[in-house]
Amino acid sequence: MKSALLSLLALSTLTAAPVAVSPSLIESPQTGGLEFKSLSSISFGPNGLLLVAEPGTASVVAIQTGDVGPETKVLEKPVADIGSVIAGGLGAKKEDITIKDLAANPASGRVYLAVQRRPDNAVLIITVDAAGKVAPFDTANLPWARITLPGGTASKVTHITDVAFDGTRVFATGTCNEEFASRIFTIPVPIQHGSSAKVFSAETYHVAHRKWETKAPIQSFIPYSENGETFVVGAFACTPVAKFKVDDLQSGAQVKGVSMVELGSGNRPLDLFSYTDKSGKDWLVVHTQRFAKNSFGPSQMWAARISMDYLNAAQTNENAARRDDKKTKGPDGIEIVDSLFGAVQADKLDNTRAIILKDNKGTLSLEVATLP
Amino acid sequence: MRTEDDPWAAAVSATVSRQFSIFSLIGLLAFSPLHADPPPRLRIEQKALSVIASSVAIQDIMVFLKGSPEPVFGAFRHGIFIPAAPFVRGQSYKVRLSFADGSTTSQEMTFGEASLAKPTVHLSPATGHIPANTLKLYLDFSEPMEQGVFLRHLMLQRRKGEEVVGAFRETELWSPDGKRLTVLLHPGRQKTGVNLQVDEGPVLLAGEPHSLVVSGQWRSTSGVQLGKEVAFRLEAIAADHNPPDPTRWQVQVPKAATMQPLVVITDELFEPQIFQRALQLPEVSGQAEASVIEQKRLEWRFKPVKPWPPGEYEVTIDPDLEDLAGNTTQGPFEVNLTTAKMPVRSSSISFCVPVR
Repeated sequence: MKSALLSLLALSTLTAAPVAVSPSLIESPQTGGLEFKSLSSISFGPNGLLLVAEPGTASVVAIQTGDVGPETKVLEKPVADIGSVIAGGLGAKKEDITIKDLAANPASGRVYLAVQRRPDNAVLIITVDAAGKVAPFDTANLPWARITLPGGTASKVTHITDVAFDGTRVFATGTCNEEFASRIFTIPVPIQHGSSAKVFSAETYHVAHRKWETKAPIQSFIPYSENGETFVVGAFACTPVAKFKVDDLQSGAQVKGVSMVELGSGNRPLDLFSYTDKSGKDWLVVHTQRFAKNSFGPSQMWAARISMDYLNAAQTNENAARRDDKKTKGPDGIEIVDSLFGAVQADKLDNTRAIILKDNKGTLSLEVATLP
Repeated sequence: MRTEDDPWAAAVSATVSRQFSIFSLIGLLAFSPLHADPPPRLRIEQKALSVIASSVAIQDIMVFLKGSPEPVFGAFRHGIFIPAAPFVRGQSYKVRLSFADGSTTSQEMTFGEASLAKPTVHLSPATGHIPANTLKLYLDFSEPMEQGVFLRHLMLQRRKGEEVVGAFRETELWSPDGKRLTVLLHPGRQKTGVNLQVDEGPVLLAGEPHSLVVSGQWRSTSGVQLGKEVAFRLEAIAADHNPPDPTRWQVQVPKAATMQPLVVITDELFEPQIFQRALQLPEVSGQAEASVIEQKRLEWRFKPVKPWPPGEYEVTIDPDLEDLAGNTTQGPFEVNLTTAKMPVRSSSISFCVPVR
């Protein structure tokens, strides 16, 4: 009971007053009436801008949460068995809940979780504050805008794998249920309710065998700038990491990716983020699920950090680095991140910490993980 | 704020139209003695739990899934509890009421009756013969199904029931109505030479019988299980690395001034629903249907709404149309960069309805 009362207090604190809209991020926003039929990926832009991928309507929703601090308060201690709290809150059994994605709001430290309930597939966004209070995210008074993603010629996007903001544009990646093709979408800022997105078809090369060109969908990505050029750095099933130059492309164009790194077969990338360590070195973190038994760590959920130097490859790059999944180390510039073992969801909070949802023998806890 | 944007306002409005003013009720309750006798009357709907009548002012309502210690997310205002996620039909809840005098009482309530519609499932294309490098199959359910559990409820078996571990890609692709699931056979094992195929082998072995087994425990969104395990037999034939070639398809041209159908018969398999939409005859009104014939081919049958005038016609083919192995008229799914590029196939079929 206590937790519910506190949760509701937290909710009212979060959304009691209408939120001022940054005119630079959302233009002509809607207020109220926002409902989600489905959720896949969520992520934060600046100033508490929450991006929500809704595959059921093939759309991206931008919400000005007003959750901007003023100071960042990080989870004080792990929230043990958070799955039970969330399941109870949705009126479901623990086994009937899936946490689809996690996003840490860098402006406040508050954690947002996209949750789906079974069997009716109802979805809800949940917030967790520094004290570990779990509450539903109330959008009633918040400004928002919805952008529909264009589909293929025969079918619509039915799965949005990731969504992110690079400071000038919103990016999303998706795939259709009828065409084995990967698409990258860009949405201009200010985000205008009811507008559409540019779409590119993405293809890349599999470094592993160096003969075949394939059309694998991007699982997770980050926007990335290099020498004034903008790229989407994407991770694929079987974990090749490739970059796609997305400047100066007309909508409908096809863009070919440059392979840079492969983390070995039998892995599925879940999340990507970049950070700068204490020495000033830049890293790309690929958070991954391994299907088979993991010979290099205690869990099938693991992550590697990859030196950003690998992203400088300019050509097709048939010599892209490959990680040997039977070894615990190497090659140079690719390292296992021990603190992310067991994480089923992960998101960067800042350059020293990530927020993770950790699987402890079937029980989920929300924790802060230290980045190396 | 519009009424429809405020859940409490909407719920209050709905209650007023059915019963009496909730505000009158609250006014009445405020001056009532602090004894809940008789017990308060409550109404539970999908998105609201309302106090219909109470002899004592209710200060708070908390709702629990029956048997759960964790309260349902939601808030109580103006005599109405609004859950953050809708109540589930057929589900029982414990409702705890707190009164102004500090006392509490609990009631058990069930929201509506659960649907009894039993789901059924079919495989598409409905054939046992598929190329060994098939990427996608489709499961069509009669009801929208629960999501997030497809890997738990699907299994691919080889001869003698041996399970093909890791046969499916984890990406879950449902149609917007939640009734059609795209089953992606793991591309990492179906593509030639990719690490996963080298390490684990292909999902399908040409010449081998396989079974796609759907668990009977898979539930519809109403919570009704399929009930019985369903097994679809698959016979893997030779891998298909060739783009579809419409010049090899048979075309049965109708006679002028008749209502005869235009018939196109392919020389390989496609998923019928997708194929049906991918072929268009823009200048003629009519209805198209596609169905599997002879296990390995597809028949597209177009019936006009008016007799055919004589003349030249063109059926357009969506260039993104994929065969079961992901090949399109624009190229094969896998491109060998060391060999000559394959020519792009035609994306249309021309035919002439001659003067009789």
